[in-house]
Amino acid sequence: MRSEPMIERPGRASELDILASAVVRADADQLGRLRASPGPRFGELPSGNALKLADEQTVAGLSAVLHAIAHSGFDWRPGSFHDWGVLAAPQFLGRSTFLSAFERFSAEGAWGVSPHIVPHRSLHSVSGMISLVLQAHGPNFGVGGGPLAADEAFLAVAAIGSGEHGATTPLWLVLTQPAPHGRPGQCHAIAMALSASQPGSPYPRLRVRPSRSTWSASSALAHPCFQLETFGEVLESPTSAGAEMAWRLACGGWLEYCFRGDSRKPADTEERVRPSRSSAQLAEVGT
Amino acid sequence: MSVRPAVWITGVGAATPLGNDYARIAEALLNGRSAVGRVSRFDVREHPSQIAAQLDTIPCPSGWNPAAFSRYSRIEQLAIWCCSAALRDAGWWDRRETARIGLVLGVGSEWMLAWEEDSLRGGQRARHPEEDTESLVQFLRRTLGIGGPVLSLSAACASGNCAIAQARRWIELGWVDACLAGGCDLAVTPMSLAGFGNLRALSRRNDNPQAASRPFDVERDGFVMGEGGTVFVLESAASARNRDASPYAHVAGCGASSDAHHMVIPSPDPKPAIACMRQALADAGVAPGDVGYINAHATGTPVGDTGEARVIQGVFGEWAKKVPVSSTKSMTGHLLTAAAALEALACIIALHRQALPPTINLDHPDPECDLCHVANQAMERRTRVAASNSFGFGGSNTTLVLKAVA
Repeated sequence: MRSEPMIERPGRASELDILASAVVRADADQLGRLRASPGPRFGELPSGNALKLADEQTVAGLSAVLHAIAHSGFDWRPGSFHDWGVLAAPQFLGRSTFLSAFERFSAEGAWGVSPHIVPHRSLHSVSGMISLVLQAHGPNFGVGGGPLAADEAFLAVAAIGSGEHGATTPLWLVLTQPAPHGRPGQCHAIAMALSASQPGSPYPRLRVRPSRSTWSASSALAHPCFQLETFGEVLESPTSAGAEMAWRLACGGWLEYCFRGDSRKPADTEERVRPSRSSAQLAEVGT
Repeated sequence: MSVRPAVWITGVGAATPLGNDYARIAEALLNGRSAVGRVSRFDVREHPSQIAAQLDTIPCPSGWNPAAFSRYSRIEQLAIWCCSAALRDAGWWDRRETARIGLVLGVGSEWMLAWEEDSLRGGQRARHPEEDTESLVQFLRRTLGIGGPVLSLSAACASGNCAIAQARRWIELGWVDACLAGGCDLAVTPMSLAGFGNLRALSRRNDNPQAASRPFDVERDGFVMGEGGTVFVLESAASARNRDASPYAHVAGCGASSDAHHMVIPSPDPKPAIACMRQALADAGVAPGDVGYINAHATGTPVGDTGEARVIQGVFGEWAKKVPVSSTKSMTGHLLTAAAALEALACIIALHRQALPPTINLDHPDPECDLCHVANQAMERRTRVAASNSFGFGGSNTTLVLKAVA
């Protein structure tokens, strides 16, 4: 029987402000359009066929980042993210591409394997592309890749952005997955601009910790394992969700979301980023 | 500001084309032995590159049922071997279920490899998402019986250094008592070898495999794929002292940056990688003149090696002509997401044995790579600080600085 030593010897929590965020849901047709125009213009997109060759999750993730930037209320410009890191947690990247590639390999042999599979369907492909577009020169890497990709990503982010010993890298966290129960080609993506929390900051806050806090422990039964869809809904509806929420991360630790609706943004910014829930397939919101 | 706790490496587990334990790997590296040969596990006659450093047999750990072990996938076997060997080596194995042991594993194409392995056996797993229920790190957490946080990551060929940096941070935050960190990759598969080959990234010196991997040499024509895994146990120096554990090295500094230039091609601008190396040296509190050995990323591609030479020259200035540099990929091949971890082990060997592993096949050093090469034969050298560069697709640059523990 495994013991629960983390509760007895908790480590320090990492706290991160969510400076901006967006949620994108797109079906195959919309993803096709997003390849040509992934979102509000920000700097120069990579030349040539880079996005044409990219995975659907890369396109959706980049689109979420661009929408978050556009609706953030910050005057972010090309060059603003020079020192930022990018962490991306795709889920089962390249499944459909693999199926067609394997068929072609079976039919044509080695020469039938596209050289673009490795650069565009590896775990780091999403973060690499986004760092390229943003001209972000901080660390970039992919996390997870499997069923608990988002859970793993929060554990990674906590270590990078946690604000001590000089580890104060602001970063983009991008969570993507094929739409659950959706048709092939559908994607969900969440992008968040995160930085180490500052005392009194008005932004929604993430807290990642290795064990439950007092309040999250008391409400543990009400907060099951992390789900990307649920989290996206919380980001989209901050005023109604309010207060604090907690999820158990199945790969270890806890994620807490803390938001005080009355102080998070100036009123004009709040108005500009108000979520639009009417769009059935492609929704965007900055928080 | 609190004092940063020192983090030590106290355990090593590895399965590589050069051997499956520290002593054999050290012996092979310091003797300049190449592990590259013609690929034998599948038909490569139609492949542009037909050579690799293969990992043929993955040993079954003691205490494991060999029949049960053989039913695991190859990547599962590899990771079990590396992690269990590292925990045993560090003295944590018997206490693993009561301590907070974490795991950060560099692995870049876990699912693609799983789907390919299954498809080649005639399976349909890739068509059935509901069958993909457990990732490798979750499998390891359950199978090894460890209770700390786990995650897998990929910065392509830089993954191992990222994993070590992540594990160090978890230890600093007090999230774990000890953490497994490293990388495993088994990319020598029909589709992967074809994909890299068609990308024109691989050497086509098929008629002379052992001479094919030749970083920094004027006749280099691409890298040679390799496979294997290396996993370390990291813990605080205080913890190691309390346990009377023998440290291999102090994880003194980590640096990371991105080129933001191209998904595959290294940036012609050396500044991002220079910033990465400087960040790692500053993190370690060492000056360029303190570094006694650099394990270069150098894979043997024409563009990459010259680019890295410019980076080293940019960071070290005049010292670049004095600090010994080698690329052990000349012997091991390029283990992709497992490469950085194996090269961290090469640095540990350099610190322990006071001898630097060579770049073999370095017959005619490229004048564009004007460095202090350890060419073809190991160099005896008293070394207290070693740095390992690992750069990757997606523009990732990482540097790890290891110090000998006094």
